[in-house]
Amino acid sequence: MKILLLAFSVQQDVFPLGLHYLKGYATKYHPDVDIQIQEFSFGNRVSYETNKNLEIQALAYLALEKPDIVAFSCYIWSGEMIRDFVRSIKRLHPTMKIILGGVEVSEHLLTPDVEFIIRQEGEIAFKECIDYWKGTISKEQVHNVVYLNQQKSPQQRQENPSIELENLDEIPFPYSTNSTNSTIDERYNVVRLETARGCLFDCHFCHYAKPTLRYFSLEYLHKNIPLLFQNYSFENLTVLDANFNSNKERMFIILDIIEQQVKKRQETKNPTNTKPLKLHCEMRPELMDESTIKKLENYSFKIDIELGLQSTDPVVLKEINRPTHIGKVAAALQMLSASRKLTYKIDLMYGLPGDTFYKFLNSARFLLTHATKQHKLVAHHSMLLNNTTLFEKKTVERYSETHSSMIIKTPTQDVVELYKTKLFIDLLNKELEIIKER
Amino acid sequence: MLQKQLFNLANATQARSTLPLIISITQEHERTLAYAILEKHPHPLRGIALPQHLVPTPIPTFISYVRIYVDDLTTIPLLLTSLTLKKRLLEVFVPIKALQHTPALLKICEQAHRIVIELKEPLGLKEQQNTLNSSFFKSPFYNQLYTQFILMSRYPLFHTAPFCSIPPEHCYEFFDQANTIIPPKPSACNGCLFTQHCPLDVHSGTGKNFTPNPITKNQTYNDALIFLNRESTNQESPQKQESRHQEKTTPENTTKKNENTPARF
Repeated sequence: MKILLLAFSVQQDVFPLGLHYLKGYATKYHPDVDIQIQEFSFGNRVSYETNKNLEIQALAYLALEKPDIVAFSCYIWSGEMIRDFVRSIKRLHPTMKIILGGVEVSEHLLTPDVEFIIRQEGEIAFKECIDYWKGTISKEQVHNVVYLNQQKSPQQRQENPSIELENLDEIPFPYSTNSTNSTIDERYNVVRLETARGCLFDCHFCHYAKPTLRYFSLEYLHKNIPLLFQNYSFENLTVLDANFNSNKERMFIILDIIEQQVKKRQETKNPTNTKPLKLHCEMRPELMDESTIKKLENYSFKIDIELGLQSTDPVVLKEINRPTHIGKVAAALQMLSASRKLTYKIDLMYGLPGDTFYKFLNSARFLLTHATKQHKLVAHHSMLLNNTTLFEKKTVERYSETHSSMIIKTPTQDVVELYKTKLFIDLLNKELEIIKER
Repeated sequence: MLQKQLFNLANATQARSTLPLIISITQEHERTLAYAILEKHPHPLRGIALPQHLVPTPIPTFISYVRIYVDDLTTIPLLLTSLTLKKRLLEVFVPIKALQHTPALLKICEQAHRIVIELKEPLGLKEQQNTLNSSFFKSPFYNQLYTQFILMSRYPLFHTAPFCSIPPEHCYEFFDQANTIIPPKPSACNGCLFTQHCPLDVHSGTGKNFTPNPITKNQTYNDALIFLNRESTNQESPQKQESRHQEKTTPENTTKKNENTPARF
């Protein structure tokens, strides 16, 4: 059996972590199955491309590789094109089986061309799909999947029970080997590390909190993080945890492991592996304090911290279920702005339920007043993501019926006001750009 | 937009070094002195505001902001091209008279980063009804202008518009309180939430024939008032400060503001 794990990405030098998780876990139970990973990158494609060169390239690759099964990871940028791509595969290879998954997969993609849609976590589900095709379990026993029951007429949607990995340590570390012939894989400028899944909070616009909050053990990380540095050369390490500083003690243990590896890398003076490291992570600003900042500054690598704020308005924050202590956020920004070493990015979102242009202005003012090291107003047009509480509430309209996409109307804002907000942000940032550059 | 100090030449030396400084030029000979002051001003956003016919080319590269009061729309594109620099913001004030027959002419200014429609001067008796009455923002003309802004991806801005004539957030003065002189208001404005922020002057220009429509919906505009009331008055332009001193202190024309909160925005 030959399986291709496929994704369309926007950046080709980012390690495809999710696909490697699926491959690693499935290979543990099915070492006889040939599982390959291939990504195709949109790169700088920003305009509508009539010729679909990337899609044709991917179809040509499939025709040559001839996998028995193709499994797609769906993201915001690929969700819309996957349906047509799947259809094309089936027209060219009617017997090729197709699985769809990923955080942005939508049931609207469930057509007779698709064998399974994997919802939620994919490791167990993907492994059990292989069990099913090997004949060791029935279709009904595959967890976390939705499919069309072909034996009924008309075909009926079937949803199987859900399951989560209780122990994340069961997932083989995705960087424990590299697939190149050389000692060190240099293909990726950005690698990602997960030390936890899920989130303490449950913001309605986000799906981080959908899986139960679980942690990879410190033993697992102690053992495996060195393998990342041993096998890969990279400049950027992104820790994917939603709130990396929610447990400070644990955070510093992990950073200490990374520091050890960075120093070791510098000592070996391997010319292919001496790139200075920049670590990116997400933190909760209210949990910041002076001692944390001092400790973070002591690491030899650069640390860039992403802080989500979204809004300062209490009505909006209540609507999106995001408890925020504005005073502590202001204090955190003051401390971070005074740090000579740490850099940060703090974002707003506009178009959230309950939001108005005036509320946004007040949030923007807060950022300009307190985030003095950030010479730009970073504000995102809110997206209504599939598989979120906000999506289930159905109080806002978005651009696409089926795909995670921009909000175009809320009970308090229309599309003109939303676009106008974007224009205002552009206007403000033009001035800030001048101040920064001079 | 970021708070700026808009001073004439006489007062420019009083400018705070930590804020942007824009010097208003009304005569050609003022340019040299303005440049000398601006070159020494430490804030990176520093510039000039002047009528189109006084705009020199080239302008020194340390001038990062140029506001042009347009008097000839047809020659604006060439002028803007000659002034364009990567680190320079160009702003144009276009008199509404220039657009009265063809709102699409606004596109001529598209090289400017910011376009403001100036409503100070009357259009003429017949067109008066189309501007500065309380339903201006419901008029086809306003909608056409708004559409042009959207097509050019520019935030819609109007200058000298009473806050009740168009959405307040489209009024330039909404974002420029420190440089906005707030004239006394007529009794017709009683009860309006924005009397202390609105530029309506019933004694000049199109304000003379304007019928106010007081904005009283506190719930809708509470956040707008929060934004406006946090503007800092300790960065007011000298002209504005002088204007406040000359006003009689009556409930109608008291302009009390929060003087304690510095804000860049």
